[in-house]
Amino acid sequence: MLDHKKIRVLVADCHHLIREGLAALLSYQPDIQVVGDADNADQAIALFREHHPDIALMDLRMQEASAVEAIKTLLAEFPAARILVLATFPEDEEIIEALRVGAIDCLLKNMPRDKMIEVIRAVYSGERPHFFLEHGSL
Amino acid sequence: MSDYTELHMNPEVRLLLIEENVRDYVMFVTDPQGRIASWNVGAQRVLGYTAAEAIGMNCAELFTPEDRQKGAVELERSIALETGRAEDERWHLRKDGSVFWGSGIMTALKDEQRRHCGFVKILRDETKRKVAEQELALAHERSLNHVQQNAVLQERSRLAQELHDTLSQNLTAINLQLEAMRQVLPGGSDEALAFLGKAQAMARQGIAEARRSVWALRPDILEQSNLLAALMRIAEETRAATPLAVRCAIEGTSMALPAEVEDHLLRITQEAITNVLRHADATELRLTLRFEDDGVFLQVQDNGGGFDAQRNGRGFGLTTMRERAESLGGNWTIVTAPGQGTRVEIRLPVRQPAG
Repeated sequence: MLDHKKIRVLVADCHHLIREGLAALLSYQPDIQVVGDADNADQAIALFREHHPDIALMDLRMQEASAVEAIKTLLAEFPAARILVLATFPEDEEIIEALRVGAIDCLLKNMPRDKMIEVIRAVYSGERPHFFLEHGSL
Repeated sequence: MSDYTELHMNPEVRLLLIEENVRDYVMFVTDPQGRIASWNVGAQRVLGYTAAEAIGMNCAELFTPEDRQKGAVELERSIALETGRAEDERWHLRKDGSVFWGSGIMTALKDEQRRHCGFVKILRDETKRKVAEQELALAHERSLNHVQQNAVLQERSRLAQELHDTLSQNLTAINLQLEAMRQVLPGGSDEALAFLGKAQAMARQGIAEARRSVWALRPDILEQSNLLAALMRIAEETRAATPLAVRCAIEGTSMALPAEVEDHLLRITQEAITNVLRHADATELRLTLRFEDDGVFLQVQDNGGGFDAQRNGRGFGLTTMRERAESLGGNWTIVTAPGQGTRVEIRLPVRQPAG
């Protein structure tokens, strides 16, 4: 499979093992390539500028700068950026705010892996699957 | 003055009582049984009885029924008899049934043979001071409660954050690492997969428990504001993040609600809105909070598809909502049918604080 056909994903999460685990799971898919991983919002922005990923997965709560601010910065610079926020629990306060400022959807870190990959593929093909609104409380 | 002559008083007391027109002090004299024998202008002004009405009345009638029942009248007399005087502060009854805070002394009177012949009571109306003191104490208590409540909330919030940002993240990391391991296990013996499955189930259970604890510890929205502000904020957020047109109405005279009531109302609202978003296919959402005389009423109404509550009620969080309402002695109803929209209503009783 040629690399340029793969969905190029950036993963940002401040927990090393979460980042690594997600990257491993996503990379295992034949059509997904993890092009970078960041442990804070500033690094996520820098890597986004460098790699122009198709999709950025961004932890809702990162140390220092908030995901909401990073989403605003990225969308101001790359209006077509497709950003999915990663939340631990569906009750996490900042989810609605992240969706409001332009995140396409919110994924839960512990959601079934198949579902997560399905949403990533759907977003890549231009859909807005509304995963969070429909399944966020499950 | 004529009444005084019936009593044999020492000159000191007599002098005092001559000040009949002292307006600021209630002064009266009773016989040994407490029957009023003289009554000054101040007494008339403060207590409302004219001298004609008061004389002959038992001074016990100036005490509140509670004090009478507690034996305050007899106690005051016996202290005055034993020690010569009884200093006291208490609520006294006026003619019209209202009360005033009287502060003063009762002195036992002796005649020339040193025999007990009655009492003289001097009082001042200190209601203003008493009320100010009570208000001050109440304000102090309130601010103390507020400080304590804030400290508790802060501590809960800190715990929730720690559970969320440390424990939950670590469990999530374990879950993800195990899942990655499942993918790379070559072929995967059944035994290895079974161990893996158990470890992962345990990690997920831990995550679910952490989630419940975080949720239980952190009524975030309520921390900073009251229910009204929290509802407005939910309405605002729902409006901003979803295609729903949201209307929020607050009716009645708002009153402070117990934290528990606010917390449950807020969560019921959130659950109801989540249902609307997920199932109702609605375009309008209406939140109504109404303060009533004996409680509070909340309604969440949508214009969506509705459903058959008899058949499809499970999994909509309906049981949880009803349990929340019932745990506070209230009731919860849902009115819906396919094609009819849905209306969730909660009524919770609120006992007004006494006083």
